[in-house]
Amino acid sequence: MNLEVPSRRGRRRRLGVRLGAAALAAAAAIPALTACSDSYEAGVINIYAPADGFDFITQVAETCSADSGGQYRIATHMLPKEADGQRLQLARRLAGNDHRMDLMAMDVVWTAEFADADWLVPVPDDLAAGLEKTNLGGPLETAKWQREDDAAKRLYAVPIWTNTQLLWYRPDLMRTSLGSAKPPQTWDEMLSDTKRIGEAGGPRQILLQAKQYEGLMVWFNSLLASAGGSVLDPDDPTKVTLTDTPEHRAATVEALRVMKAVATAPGHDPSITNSDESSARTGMERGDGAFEINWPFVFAGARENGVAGEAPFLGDSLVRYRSIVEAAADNPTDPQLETVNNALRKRFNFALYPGISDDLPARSTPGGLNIGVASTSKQADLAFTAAKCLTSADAQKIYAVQGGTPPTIASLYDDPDFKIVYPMGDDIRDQLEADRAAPRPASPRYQEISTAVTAALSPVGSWNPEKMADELATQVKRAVKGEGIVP
Amino acid sequence: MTSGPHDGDGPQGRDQHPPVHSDIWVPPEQLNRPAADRPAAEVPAAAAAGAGAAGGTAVLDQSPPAAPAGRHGSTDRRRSERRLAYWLVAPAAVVMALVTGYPIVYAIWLSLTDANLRDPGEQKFVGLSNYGTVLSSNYWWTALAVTVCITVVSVLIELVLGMAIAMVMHRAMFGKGLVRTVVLIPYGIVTVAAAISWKYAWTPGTGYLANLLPDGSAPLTEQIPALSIVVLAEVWKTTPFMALLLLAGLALVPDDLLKAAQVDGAGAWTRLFRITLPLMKPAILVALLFRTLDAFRIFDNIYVLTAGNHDTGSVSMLGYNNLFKAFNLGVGSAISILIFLCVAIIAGIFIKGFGASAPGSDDEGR
Repeated sequence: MNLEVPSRRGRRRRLGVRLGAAALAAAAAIPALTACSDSYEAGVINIYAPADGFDFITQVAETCSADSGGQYRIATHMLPKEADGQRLQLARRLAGNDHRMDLMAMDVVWTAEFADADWLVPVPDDLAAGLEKTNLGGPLETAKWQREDDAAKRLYAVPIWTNTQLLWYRPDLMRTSLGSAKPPQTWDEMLSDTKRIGEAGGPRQILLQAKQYEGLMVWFNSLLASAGGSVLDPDDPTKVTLTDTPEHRAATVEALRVMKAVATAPGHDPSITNSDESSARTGMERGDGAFEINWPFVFAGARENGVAGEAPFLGDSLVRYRSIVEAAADNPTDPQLETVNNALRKRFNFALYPGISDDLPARSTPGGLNIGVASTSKQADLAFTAAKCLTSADAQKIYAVQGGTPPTIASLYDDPDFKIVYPMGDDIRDQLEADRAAPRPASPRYQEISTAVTAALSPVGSWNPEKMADELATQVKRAVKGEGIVP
Repeated sequence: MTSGPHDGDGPQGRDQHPPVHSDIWVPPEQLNRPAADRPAAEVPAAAAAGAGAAGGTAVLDQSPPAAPAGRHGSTDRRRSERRLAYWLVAPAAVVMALVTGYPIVYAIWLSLTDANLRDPGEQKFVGLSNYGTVLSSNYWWTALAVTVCITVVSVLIELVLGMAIAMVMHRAMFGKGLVRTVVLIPYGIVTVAAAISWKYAWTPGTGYLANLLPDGSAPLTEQIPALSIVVLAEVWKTTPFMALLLLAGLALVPDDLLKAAQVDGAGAWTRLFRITLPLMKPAILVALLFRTLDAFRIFDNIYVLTAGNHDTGSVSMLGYNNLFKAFNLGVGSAISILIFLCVAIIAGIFIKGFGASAPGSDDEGR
């Protein structure tokens, strides 16, 4: 027994050291803990922004801080890549009353939820009036919400960048198979074109986003709005309008019919139920697709891969421009790129988002980010000043030209540099005007609505449109009331 | 028990500090027994081989109290010892209660309210309606069925494979350490990292395994194939754990018994089913209990591989989505409590039904 005694003593000595170390560590941590719990640094504006585009926000933040003449300094903090993770982190900080968070880069669908939770400071009237004049209607609409104590809809965030999907097609393929390179204007035209392309021996896939995620909600929302329907009443966000009147019901069924037709057409993408932006892009570049629905980033992607000879659907038609594209890597507004763009557009071109019928305008769902001022911030006025600088025309030009995210300020679409980078700029602007953009339903329960809708629709095309319309209405009604559980 | 390390500082330390101040409690009647102390501590290193074992038995021999005083004194001391024991475990018990008890009680409370992360402080008591909501939802029953399927299938495969690997490790002629290390590698890899590799391996275009399948098949996009991949990832990762637990059980089976049976003409299968497995039953049940509880709470593999799409979500995924996507603390907590109940039922069935013993309990191994 006593054999153990000396070694126990040694252990005790070590334990003493450990206890001491623990006490020291605790003593060292206490000031740090108190620092992160409560206090904020006056003049330092903390912005939390997603990983995508973070570098460009940081770059602009440095310029803004330097130009503010010491009024403020913007510190940037990175949020996760996935929207769910970003939202959760922001919500935890807000619910935990984090005074060190001043600005938040928010997905366009969170405005109502954050505003109703009292997490957002409304945009001051003078700033809001300025934004109304300069910004496009679609992106602006996504930042608006009417809280119970508001007399009317008002801005709760400042748009920083936006996005919209376009139809991508292959003029060379259409010319050889159909004899004309005129892009389809409706989904039905697109389906009949694909059929004829297939009969002529070409690829028949329509590549888009239909796995069980937000991209599926975007597709459904665009189709529904183009058919003249809507998920919720724009004037009363507690009212579900999927099937409430015969007209609304017809629109919902029509949108679902198109979805089913695309997902079950002969020769459709076999992994359509798992498709997202990146699978659509790669499938198109591989040459599997006749048409693609995607965000404008695919254009620069096809150009890069095309000049490297790695995009089979372009063959080696772009390889001779390799030196130009490589030289323009650091200078995206190089006018020489227009030559390459024009050559690319002979084989990979864009058109407006297709509609449901010729009588109704095609409408498409805007994406993007808005900057909100957190209600937990102790320096909201200064935060709005910083937000104004981060969303100015100069800033948005940097995001657009270098970051690849279209601006929300209308005048930038006429900028010559912008036009070089965005040959599709006019189409983007048209689709972002208030009468063409179809924002996703604004509701504090948007997350539940979107989860319920995508779960019901998935796997896409495996249902009867009439029955699915009723099913969707039931699910969305429950989600709006906050009943039931989310899948 | 070798005396090597003690030779240097042993006697010196004892001279400076009497053993009274030692961390371990020494019965008073043993404090004045230098005769037993010295020889053991002063055994020359050369005699360590034999003396080490002797010292070990000496310690064991001393442990039963010598009971010098009358019966009355003995029970008094026992009582005070017991009191001391309670005082000594009290801090740990309090910390345990705070760290595990408080969250459990708080979760039960939250599950009875309509709390939502969006409006903190505005929760009101709603009774059992959250449980009604969950139990009347198809999503819960689908997730429960998926979870039970994954648990049963993966644990059964792990048991068979783990048993085979344990036998191999037990009978390994050479490189035992190496074999055990190699087998443990999957268990050492972070689950999420392994799951991401599996995901890429089974995605058409990026994966070597997906290329083995007929063209155009995407196994992660359909329920049954996706669940099979989840089970595969689970089995690959946790079979080593199962094997190690079973290996410990195999060591309990006396070789003599097996040899005697062999002499009596019992074949390999008879020996396995009539001798090895019955003797290993306690180890097998503990291994099954651990793995079943673990598998029932599966989250990370599914989260990475399918994100719960195509009806592949487990109950843990469902709880996570309601808590952290819908911010619905009430319903999410109700799901957590239901998972807790399921786990308690599984443990109860194993312990009461099959007689598995909780580690550390009195009837361990019975």
